[in-house]
This record gives sequence, structure tokens and C-alpha cells, in this order.
Amino acid sequence: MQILINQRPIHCTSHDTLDSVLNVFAQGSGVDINDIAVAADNTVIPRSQWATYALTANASFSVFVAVAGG
Amino acid sequence: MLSDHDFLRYSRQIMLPLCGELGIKTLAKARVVVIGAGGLATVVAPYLVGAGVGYLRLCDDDIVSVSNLPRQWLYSPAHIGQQKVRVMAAQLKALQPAAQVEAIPEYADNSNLCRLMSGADLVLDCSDNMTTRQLVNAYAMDAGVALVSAAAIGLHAQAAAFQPSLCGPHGNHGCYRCLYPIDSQRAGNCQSEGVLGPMVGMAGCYQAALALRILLGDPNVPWSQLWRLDSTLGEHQLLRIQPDPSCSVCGHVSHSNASSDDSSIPNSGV
Repeated sequence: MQILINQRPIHCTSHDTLDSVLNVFAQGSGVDINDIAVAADNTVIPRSQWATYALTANASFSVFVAVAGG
Repeated sequence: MLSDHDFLRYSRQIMLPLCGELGIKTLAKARVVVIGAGGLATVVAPYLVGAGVGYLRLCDDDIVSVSNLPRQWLYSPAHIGQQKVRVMAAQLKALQPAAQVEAIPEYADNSNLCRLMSGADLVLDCSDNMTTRQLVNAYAMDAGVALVSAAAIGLHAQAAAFQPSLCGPHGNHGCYRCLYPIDSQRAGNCQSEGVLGPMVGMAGCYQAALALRILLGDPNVPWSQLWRLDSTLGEHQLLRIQPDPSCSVCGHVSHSNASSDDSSIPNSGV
């Protein structure tokens, strides 16, 4: 199955969760997973739902890092 | 009825259906608390005072340093070493002598946020770190005061408005902590990551526009919607922040009598 994270294709299996995919993505991107948020369909997915969020083929996610400067 | 001077001064706002003459009077009575006196506040505060907001409380204990000057343009080299809130208050009074500007040289924390927010119609988070942002959100939610949070770093800007009465599982809107359930951040501020000045300016402008719309009673305020701008890709998004049922701030407490063992929730009556 393929999903899109920030418009880039990511291959995952039916055993993967959003949580596990984001862990791999964060490690590969050199960012702390605690500092990121993720959205699908223009809606932020609460962190508490990452572990149970069902991945579907071709789902598209926006992942971004928290910004705190000012 | 407005004076001739005020009618002339605010004529471009009065033309807006959102504002009108009544809106000018509404803004004159508004009380806004600004947490932080850095790059965001130096953009937001002049816009608010310039638009006729009657009272601003500026809260920060920082002093002007040379590294602030590229983007915090209320400050000049002559102000280096001076208390930011005092310099800003003087600059704002010069811009609009009718405005009341209170300078409080204190960093916002658990010991003073209740006092700093007292009497506020609106709180603007212009701080520069995640710890303060979480505290400001928790106290605003607890006090039932609308919050506009903005931030910038590198080539990124983000901002969102939160109305406590809409937040939580019953309101179907998330709070700031629903978006970022973290208490601290190793990176993420201008000091550690750097920032391009205009990114702070754009975040501040969006924050100021949201603030004025809220104060004027705009029924179409995008509550709990994160505006994010990524200038590296030239893209921006508006993302709905839904409530997190497990949120320690808005997930399981009422806004008027919050009580929790969680340290992120301010105690009532602090």
C-alpha cells in the first residue's frame, strides 16, 4: 500500500499505523516526533489517535513541525 | 458619536461593514493582553493601537539587544539595553496618544499569568517558547478568554485563534494543546533556529487581523483553524484543529471551574 506524506510516496503494510509511519518519517527527516503534527483532509489528527488511525491506500498527509518562535 | 478627528483618523476602517462607527467605539473599550514583546508584538501592537484599541497590556522582561533590530522595528540602536515593554509602550503612545498602554516587565509564568490576564477581552500569545505557549493556552482556556497564538521560525509562520467556549469535546473545537501536546521543545525558537524577519511580520499581521476581527465581533472568525505558511515551498494551509478527547487542558474540564492535578492546568483562583 502506498500513502503520501508531504506529497512524497511512502510504502507501508496493513500492519502499519499512522504512529509507526510517522516514527519512521521523523527519524528519516531528523526531527523529533514529539515536535510534529499531522493533518489529513485539512484536519489535524490528534496525537492520541495516531496509534489507531486507519491507513488507507493513497491517503495523503501533511506533516509539519511545531513553530514556537516569535 | 465620534469626534471629527476620530472620524477622519479611522475613516478607512469605518468604511468596512465589519467596523463602522460602532466598531471604533467597541475597539476603544477593548482590553488586550500581549504576552511577549519581541518580533510578533512589535507588529501586532502598533496595528491594534493604530486601529483604535483602547487598552494594551504588554508583558515581557526582556531587554532590547542588537540581534532584535533586523525584525523588531519598534526598537532602534538607541534602545539597546532598555526594557522592551517600556520602549514599546512609549512608541505606541506616540502612535496613538489616546491609547492606554501598560508595560509590565515580567515574563509570563505560572505565578503571574492569572494576574496578567485579568480583565482581558483577548490574549495574544507573542511569546518565543513552547513552555510559555502551553501556559498561556491553559490560562486562557481556564479564564474563558479568547486567544490568538502566532509563531514564526526559519521560513515558517503559524497562527490560530481559540475561543474557550467552543473548545473541548462538547464544542467540537481543539485548543492549542490539542494541536501540540508538548510542554517543551528542544528547538523551535528563533534563538536556536534563526528566522527570516518577514516571516515574523506575516505571522504578526495575520495575528493582528484575527485580533481585530474578534474584537469587532466578526461571526466568521476561523476559530481553531491553524494557518500555516511554508515559504520554502511557497504554500499555505488552513487546517481545522479538532478537539483531542485526551487533552489535559480542554478535554475533560469545564472552562469556568477547571481543576486538575495536571501541572499544565492552572489552579482556579491562582
